Amino acid sequence: MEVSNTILQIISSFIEADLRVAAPILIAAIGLLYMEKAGVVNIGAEGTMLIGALAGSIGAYLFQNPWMGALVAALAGGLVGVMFAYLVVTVKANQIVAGIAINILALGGTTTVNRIFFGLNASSSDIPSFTKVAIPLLSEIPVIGSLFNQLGLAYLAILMVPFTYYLMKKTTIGLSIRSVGEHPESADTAGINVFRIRYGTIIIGSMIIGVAGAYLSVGLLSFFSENMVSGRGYIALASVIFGKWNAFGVLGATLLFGFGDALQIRMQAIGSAIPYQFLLMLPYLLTVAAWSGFVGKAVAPKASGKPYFKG
Amino acid sequence: MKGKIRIILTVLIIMCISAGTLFAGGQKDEIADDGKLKVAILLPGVITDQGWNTLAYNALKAMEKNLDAEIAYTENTPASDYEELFRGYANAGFDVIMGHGFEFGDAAKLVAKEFQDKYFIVTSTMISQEPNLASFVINDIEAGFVEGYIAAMLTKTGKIGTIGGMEIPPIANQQKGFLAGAKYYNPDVEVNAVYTGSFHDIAKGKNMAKAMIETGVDILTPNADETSLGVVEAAREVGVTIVAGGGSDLGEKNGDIVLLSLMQDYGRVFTLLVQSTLDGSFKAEPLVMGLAEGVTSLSSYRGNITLTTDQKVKIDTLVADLISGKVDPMDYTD
Repeated sequence: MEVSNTILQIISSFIEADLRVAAPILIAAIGLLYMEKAGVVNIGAEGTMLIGALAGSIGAYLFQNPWMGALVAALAGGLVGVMFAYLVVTVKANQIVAGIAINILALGGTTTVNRIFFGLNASSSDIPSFTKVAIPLLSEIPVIGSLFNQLGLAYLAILMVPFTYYLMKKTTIGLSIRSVGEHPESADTAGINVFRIRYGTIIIGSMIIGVAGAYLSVGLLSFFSENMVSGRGYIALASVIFGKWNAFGVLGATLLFGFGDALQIRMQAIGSAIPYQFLLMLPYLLTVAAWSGFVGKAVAPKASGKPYFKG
Repeated sequence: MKGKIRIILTVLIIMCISAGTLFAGGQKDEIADDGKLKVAILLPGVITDQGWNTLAYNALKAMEKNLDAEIAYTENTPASDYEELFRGYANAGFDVIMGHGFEFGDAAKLVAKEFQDKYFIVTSTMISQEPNLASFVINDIEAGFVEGYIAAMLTKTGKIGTIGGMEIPPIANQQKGFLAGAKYYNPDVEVNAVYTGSFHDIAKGKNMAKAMIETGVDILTPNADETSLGVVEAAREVGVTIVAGGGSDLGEKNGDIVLLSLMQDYGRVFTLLVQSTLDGSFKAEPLVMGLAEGVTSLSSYRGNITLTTDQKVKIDTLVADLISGKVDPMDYTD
């Protein structure tokens, strides 16, 4: 009895950890999905997240409220979005180059601002962070109850999945966004303002990506640290492709990645004999395996990565 | 249209360059030749990591004060730039140029040949080259031994853990010592030694620590620079205790949860070595330093556990025995 209880506990904490690891990637991937659907590839998600993470910790510190941190992060992300949109939509710069520029700018910029603002030895005590919110009843279900005891932002991330799916598939705005991503010339002929749609999706998407950064700095942890995003922005970009540009697919992709990471961490923690280098590869291996096994062909929006030159 | 794109590209390039310059941190381009001692160091990470790189930064600051030296440093040095940066600092008139980590060894050897009138020092390795390249390593096995001994003494669950960044010599040695020290105190204690694979991914450190705590570990020893801060956060949430490795005083900012840190006084070593280049006693040889040289030391006790007098005496005895050579950690490693 006691043994099975322990196993249930391990499974329960495992499920909780899966979502905890996956949530920041999921939020960023959903943000990316908006602009990807409109035919914009934003490799700068990593840098946008980093800027969001710093803005989040500064906002939370100034207002002594984590939700204000998330709001400031969204605004900062939106600003980055405006800059990116100007580069890739208005002046039609190469999207990859513009994205890389944002990543480099973010790395240097956040480092400098962080040191000016928080000094060289930041301590976590002054920055309030999100606490876990247990949903009544649901969180008491055995084993999977841990799913309903997460940071507030994590629920928001989950709720955004059906919302985004509905928005893209069932609404006029969604149809406009998709048509801009598939065939901007036709969309333009049909009276859809391609520039406005791309600007809108990039700015909204970047705001969401900014919040993903805040999830790291005022959610999972309670301080900002240089380069703390550590590649999660790129994983988010991969998740969008892996999830076949579909909100539920993206959810599946990020949860699978989170599963792999939570699993490798637990295997190391119980002292598995497998060399740790292999365990560290696990989330990536799982993703590659799933990719080659089940996912099949992913079809990108046809105008993906291409600037639109109005006739 | 084309003209516009060109303008934007130019702007982008300027942005990249200025961002890169920002990121290079304290690098100084123009150094006046005023006869002052000039010391530069190449760092693998950022000076705010409260670990490996903070140690070097503080050591550099100590030299600025103690030796009235002019200092410069480069953060996040990419491996492809090791040589060029060594050469760049040498050309810019720096007298002593250091690389903070064994990985700088090969580049230092190469450049040291070209600049025989400059001194090169590499940390955490055992290399040397006549007449101007020396290195030193801090006895990490010994430090890990003390950490493991204390952790084994304090655990109530009989399970302790150490979380390293990557399997590189200083950390692999610390873990080796940790295992030996724990077994030396109590052969039955269960020790779990893991790696996060990153010195920067704080979230990963936190997740790893949480998973270990779930398996019953109640004393944790992080040795992973910035990632250690995530371990501290996880420990704080649950209330387990940290015995810190990695060389800087982690408890200075986290005194609520860190019992003590095994500190490594790089400032002392740096100052000694650089002074030797001034008075001519510099020797191109590798040095090993530890408790006996006063380079490794124990921080004051803080944290959420109060040690009994008996426990304190035991720790002091172990340190004394390690210094006198009565206990040799190597006898207890596999």
